[in-house]
Amino acid sequence: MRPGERLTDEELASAATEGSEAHFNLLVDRHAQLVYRLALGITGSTQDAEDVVQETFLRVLQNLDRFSPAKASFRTWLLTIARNQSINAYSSLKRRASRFFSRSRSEEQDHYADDNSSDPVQQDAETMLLQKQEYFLVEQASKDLPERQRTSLHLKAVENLRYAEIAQIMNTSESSVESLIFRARQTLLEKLRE
Amino acid sequence: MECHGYQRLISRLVDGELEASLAHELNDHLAGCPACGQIYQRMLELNRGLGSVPSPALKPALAERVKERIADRRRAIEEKEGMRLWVRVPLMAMVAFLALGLGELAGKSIHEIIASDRGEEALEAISPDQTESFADVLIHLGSQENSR
Repeated sequence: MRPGERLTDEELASAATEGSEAHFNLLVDRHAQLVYRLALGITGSTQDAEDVVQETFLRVLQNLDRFSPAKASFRTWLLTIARNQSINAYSSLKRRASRFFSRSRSEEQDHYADDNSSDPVQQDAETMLLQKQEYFLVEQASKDLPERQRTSLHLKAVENLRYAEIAQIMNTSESSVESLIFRARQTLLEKLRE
Repeated sequence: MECHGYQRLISRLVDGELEASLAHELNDHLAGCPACGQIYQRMLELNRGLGSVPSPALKPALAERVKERIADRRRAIEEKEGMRLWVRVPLMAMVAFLALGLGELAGKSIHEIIASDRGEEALEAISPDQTESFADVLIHLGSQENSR
């Protein structure tokens, strides 16, 4: 076990503020995947999501002295920065264009095929195909949601955060989060019915 | 409450964020409303689907790249701080040498320039009369007027 692995995020952040690179690296190891999933959920592009991961942790490093555990947990603070970075990446016209042209529908479906092929559980071809189509439909429908609905639904359904934490990350109220998630679900159910 | 209101509660129930009292009321409604019961099942399925959509795993190399970039950034900041010191010292030395050089060119050392009485000489040159001050002149003029 590496030194510092038993420390909480907040303790690691405190040590990193004092200049410990090793403690900061532990924070990167712990949360890079979480940031990547959120960035991918918002931007819909693996390349953008990778850039967001890098930019997010650089921002965290630059602003560590501003982090206050009394106001929010480290995870909440990190996801707030990650969301802002993802929105910046998503709203960039250049990146939007490259995202549109870079991944065709068939490539997306291949991506799911690759994921399933690495699944150790034996599945027959028909079930795999149905599941692949289901994943594809859900992800496509999610991509068309407005950013706030998509992000709040992702943070709830994928990351299983509480409404209160999502509200902090999105700088809004819990009732707004509840409403965003409900509207997102309604839209998805309508689209999937079509 | 109408079905739309109950459907909002269904969404909260699926999220595990519905208070016990409201959950009880919702269950009573679901028992007698097949349409809302269907919505509940579909929301559960959707949630399962969203949770199980495979997210491409972050490449391990990316986490390493992030760490490398952070180390680079730290080094850049440290080098910048170091550079500031290295720039400041020769700059101060250059200013001092320049001052000494100019002094020598003028034929005097810095000490001679600072300690010289050239200022007093200049004052004497522009002052026409060192014996009387302006007040002495006014008093003198006033006494002449009085005697008249």
